[in-house]
Amino acid sequence: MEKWTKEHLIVYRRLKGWEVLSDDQIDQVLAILVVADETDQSLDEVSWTEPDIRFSVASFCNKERY
Amino acid sequence: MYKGALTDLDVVELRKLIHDREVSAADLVQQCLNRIEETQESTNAFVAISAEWGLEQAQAYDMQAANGQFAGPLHGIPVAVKDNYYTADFPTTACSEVHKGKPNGTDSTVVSKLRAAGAVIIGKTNMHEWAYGATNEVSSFGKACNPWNYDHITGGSSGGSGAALAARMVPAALGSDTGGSVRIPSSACGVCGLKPTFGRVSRTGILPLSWTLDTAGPMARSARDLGLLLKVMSGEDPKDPTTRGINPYSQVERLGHRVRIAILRSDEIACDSTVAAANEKALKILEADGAMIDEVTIPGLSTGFGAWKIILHSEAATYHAQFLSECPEKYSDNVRVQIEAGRCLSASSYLKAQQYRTLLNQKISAILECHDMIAMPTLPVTAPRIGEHMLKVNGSSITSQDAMTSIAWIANSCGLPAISIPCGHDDAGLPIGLMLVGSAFQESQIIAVADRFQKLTNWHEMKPA
Repeated sequence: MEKWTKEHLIVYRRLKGWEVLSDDQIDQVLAILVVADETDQSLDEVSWTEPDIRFSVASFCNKERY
Repeated sequence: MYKGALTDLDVVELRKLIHDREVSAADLVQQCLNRIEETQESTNAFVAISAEWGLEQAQAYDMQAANGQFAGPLHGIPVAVKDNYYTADFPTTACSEVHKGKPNGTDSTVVSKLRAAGAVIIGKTNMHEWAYGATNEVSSFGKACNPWNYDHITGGSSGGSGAALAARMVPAALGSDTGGSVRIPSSACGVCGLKPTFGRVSRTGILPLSWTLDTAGPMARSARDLGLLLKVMSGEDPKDPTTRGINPYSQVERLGHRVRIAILRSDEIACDSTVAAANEKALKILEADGAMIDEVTIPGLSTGFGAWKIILHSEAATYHAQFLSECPEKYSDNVRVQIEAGRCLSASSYLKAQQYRTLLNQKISAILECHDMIAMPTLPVTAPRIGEHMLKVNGSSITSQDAMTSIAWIANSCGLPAISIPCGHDDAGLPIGLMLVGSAFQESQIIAVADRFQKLTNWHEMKPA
């Protein structure tokens, strides 16, 4: 995941055609995305083994899960 | 006839009095309505009340009882419903301007089950807008206030239900829990809350926040009441394909062996020393009663908390995409910025976060193979002051939103049942909660231990001045 910056976020939103947000709202969105960036990097460092990667949303909701 | 205040009794006691015709349902509903009138202005717990209809229903139940007929285990019991459950006779708004309107004429599956069991749906309770926050400071009906101190938050998102129970306005209420929203206000308001196993209770007719995390749960003033309510609420629902009817909950039982409780120790969760001490004391009481207490660690909780947020924001942004494009001005800033952040997250991030859930679940399952449950504080702090958005916990700065969810999210991420019960007060008299997380579809174990604790202590009976 590419790291979010304020400029990146403003341009991305403009390209998507989304409504303009106030400077304060952009700062708040960015604060959430910065945390998500950090988590994403941590997730990249996780060592996965074969059984771990079978997961999907469908399996979480699957009736046979338990 | 019973002469005491009915509003101080739990559902199990009220049920017996009504069944024995010591008390009429109409008297009970009237006493609840009187309490609502006395405390609504201070707490803002309710967003809709139907006094006339509630009394009519209660009188109808009294006539049935006079003929020896009882609708079910909740015959004549007033229940308050969080404002994200569809109810045929009340509007359902999730405390958002987006959904303001008339009743849509249908009941959610859970509300249908409660009505069939004889419950009197007395009103709808305040909540954090769209259940997308854990403070209940953000609501189109105004903030909810904590009955223990009106200057403090109730916690959320089911804050109105927590306040209504603590202020003795109702004996039972419904909440929904995506990252602690049943248990957080239960802890902050000194009442009891249960997040059932994912798939135990239908979510049909409940406005969603996050499809793979959302759970419907009961709130009450005793663990045994939670068991009674769970029994009514749970079961397979063809309209919610995630539900299962296995191992149905029947009643509070004594465990057939010495209960094995693992205490969660983690450097990754900051916890206030008063809260930690109250939890330790509670576990000592259980240990003295015969429980085997052990300590465990779960590495990777910080990453898990971040993964939970990615899932929450991604799923919420997807659900809200259409509303947001149609009427962005109807969202509060607090909720809108979270949805806007969710719109920017990648599918890869979301799926990695879901993968991590599996890994965390494996770690916790390994602990639960040799323990019956894991104990931890529900909240790392007592209820913060309204408007206090940054907290210091053990020298670390944390937002009140993060503090509220920093422990409770674990059960949602793993789909496991968790109960919060009162276990102490801080120096300012604000309640502290103990949380027990059990194995999937083993609610009976955590309810049994919580019930045992409540036979040994009286924290759950204490009420605000």
